[in-house]
Amino acid sequence: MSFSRCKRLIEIGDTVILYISVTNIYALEVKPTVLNRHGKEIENVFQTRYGCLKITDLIGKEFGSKITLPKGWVHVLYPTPELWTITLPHRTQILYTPDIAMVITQLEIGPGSIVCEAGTGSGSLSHALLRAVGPTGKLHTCDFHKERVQVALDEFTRHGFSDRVTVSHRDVCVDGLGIDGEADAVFLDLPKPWEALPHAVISIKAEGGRICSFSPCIEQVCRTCETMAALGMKEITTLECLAREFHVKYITVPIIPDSSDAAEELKPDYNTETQAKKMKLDIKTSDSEDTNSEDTKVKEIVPSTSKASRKCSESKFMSAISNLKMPGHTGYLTFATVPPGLKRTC
Amino acid sequence: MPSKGCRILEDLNVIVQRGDYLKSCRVKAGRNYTFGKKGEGQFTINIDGAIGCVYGSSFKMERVANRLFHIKVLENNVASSGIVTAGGEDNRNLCDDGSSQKLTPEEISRLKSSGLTGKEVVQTITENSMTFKEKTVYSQEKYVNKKQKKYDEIITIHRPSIRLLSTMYYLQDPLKISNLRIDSLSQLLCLANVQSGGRFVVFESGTSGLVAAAMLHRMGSSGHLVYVYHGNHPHRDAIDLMNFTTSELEVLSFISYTKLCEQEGHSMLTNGMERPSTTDETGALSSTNEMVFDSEQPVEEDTSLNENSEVNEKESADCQKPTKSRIFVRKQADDVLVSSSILRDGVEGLIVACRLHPVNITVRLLQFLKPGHSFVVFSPYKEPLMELYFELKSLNCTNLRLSENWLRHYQVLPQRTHPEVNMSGGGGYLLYGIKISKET
Repeated sequence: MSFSRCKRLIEIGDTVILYISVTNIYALEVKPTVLNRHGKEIENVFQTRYGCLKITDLIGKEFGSKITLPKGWVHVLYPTPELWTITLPHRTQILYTPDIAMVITQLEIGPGSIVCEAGTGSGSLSHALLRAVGPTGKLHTCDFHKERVQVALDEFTRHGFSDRVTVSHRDVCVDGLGIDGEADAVFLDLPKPWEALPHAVISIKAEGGRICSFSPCIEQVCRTCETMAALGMKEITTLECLAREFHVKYITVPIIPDSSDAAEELKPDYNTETQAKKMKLDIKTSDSEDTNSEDTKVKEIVPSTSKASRKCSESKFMSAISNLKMPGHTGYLTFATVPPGLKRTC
Repeated sequence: MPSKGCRILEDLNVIVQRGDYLKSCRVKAGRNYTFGKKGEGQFTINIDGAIGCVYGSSFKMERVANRLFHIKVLENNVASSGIVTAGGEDNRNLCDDGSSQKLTPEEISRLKSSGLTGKEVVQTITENSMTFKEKTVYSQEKYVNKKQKKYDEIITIHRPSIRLLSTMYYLQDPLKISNLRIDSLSQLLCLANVQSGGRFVVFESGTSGLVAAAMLHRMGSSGHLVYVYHGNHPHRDAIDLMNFTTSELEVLSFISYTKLCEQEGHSMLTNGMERPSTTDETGALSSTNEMVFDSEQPVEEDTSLNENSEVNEKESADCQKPTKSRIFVRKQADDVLVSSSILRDGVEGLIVACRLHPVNITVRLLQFLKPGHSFVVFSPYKEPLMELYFELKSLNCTNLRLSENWLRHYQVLPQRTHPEVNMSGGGGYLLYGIKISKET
């Protein structure tokens, strides 16, 4: 229940975020027992690299507190839709925070808004939409996959959103969104969004609203935009956004001396190869960065650097290093306005 | 927001859109508004015709004097087309020697003021272009669209929204809002978990109050937002433009950064025993204490035009500059009390957005954040955030992430889809993190 209202202490039924390291974050539901493979009820224990965590030990703990485990420690954090997005069980491809944030601002969603979403997928965007519509708004989400609908509904209920969401099993391209002239905004993440657009217009309020379509392929975008214009939508915009993350660290680079006698002093093996190795090391440590043992790792690097470059001078500076690999494309976001009094055809 | 009326009424702020151009104004009957850059593109309109219409309606501009227009609701808003006909194969025979247009700039100017519609003007221009017929159909369309944008006489009047305000400020001058681009702003709100019913703190400077306005919009009329400002008064242009109701503004209270530091010295925030619970009530009861500021009016430009003395006289007669009424729901002293009481109890999210050095500000405000909750710091520069990263690493913070956003718009047209030729080179940097409990 912890998603929908703020609280200090962890209780049974809460979803909490277990933070082990930057790349090791989990969402856990606080329940004392779980069913094992044979359907038998057993104590709920979560295995981490620092040893096992008895879930019941979390009850009564404050959010943000440090939990000591046999071989280290972890932190237990307050759940947010953003942390849920990076920890949720994937049932489909999901939307990530840069796109989600953009969708909510562009669709002008606020407390009290009525929003339609198709399809629900894994519920990554749904959680952010549910937060945005608030207790006075409503999210109507649908998916054409029957099992996903049930799983999503269970999840929303466990997260305390049951009073502001409806989840339905339908194919919106055929059956429409099931909402008529009530919605402030519609979000479509479908293989053929253009088929659902006339239905989307029907679900929007008579005084107008906003529509968004998310598609990974440019061909989908072209057809979507054509249909949007044909239906009389305004302000049709297509954009793409990505977040670039940086690793912040101190970097030491050698300076090659200009004078010839100083150069002679350089050991022959101190060449570009070792530098390349060191750079790799930098990136590696930052990738597998581990809050709980990080300091020791940093120390390990420092002496080796100073040894290797004892003979030449070096320069140390603070730097923000980009990832060697990052997501280059998620999908195109197309937004449009349904003007007031737009003729509805279907 | 859904709860509010959907009609354009007097004394409300609206966003006027013409093509890509956006401008905010406060609706007053009989008032004329000047739009566009000084010179050829500038025009004045009277928007009385919009009063009572639904937000989002489009209007046709009708010329009543040289550059003065009245507006009339457009019933059937379809883009005018039909100028593009058969086209040539490619551009092998076209040369850009500046001689293809037979009309002189003066003639075009006269055409514009002769009362012809935008479409007729564009039609005449293309007919007088010797090369138009030889251009490809795509090229003709591009040419017509370009001309139409220039001579288009359709405007749309929108309800102010964070999307439009952010776009408007960014178009006017990104530096006016410290290069806080819409994607960075959106992520600030999400990462800080801003929502209805929560308690939040924002430190904002040099972004025209856009962050606080956006937070207020996401909160509705429930929860609390403490706006910590630097200098003599908070920047609240965007807050004023959003047409927030009194109950929505009651969510907001201001406190100056200096006052905050002073109070901490007196340990008022930490022990919390002086002036107990009455603070909240006095705050809420002394509401609707409207103060009217008519000093600076950055959003409304001078309405007078020098060329046309007749219009000029008429204007100055029937429209004195309307005062921009700012709603203050509490007296300043009460604001400070309410703010301190909120801070004392702790908040569930913190946003810092400014071009000032963020280290001391963030570290100070972090003490009010409840453990387990998130904070985000925006800066147009990466370096101070890198410093802050190391500073926070040694404090009770985890999951620190420094990021930058990339935003690209697309031209989507049949057979001509590609990224826009120009894009923003950067929209600022974000440092996100979560506070954890102090070691005991």
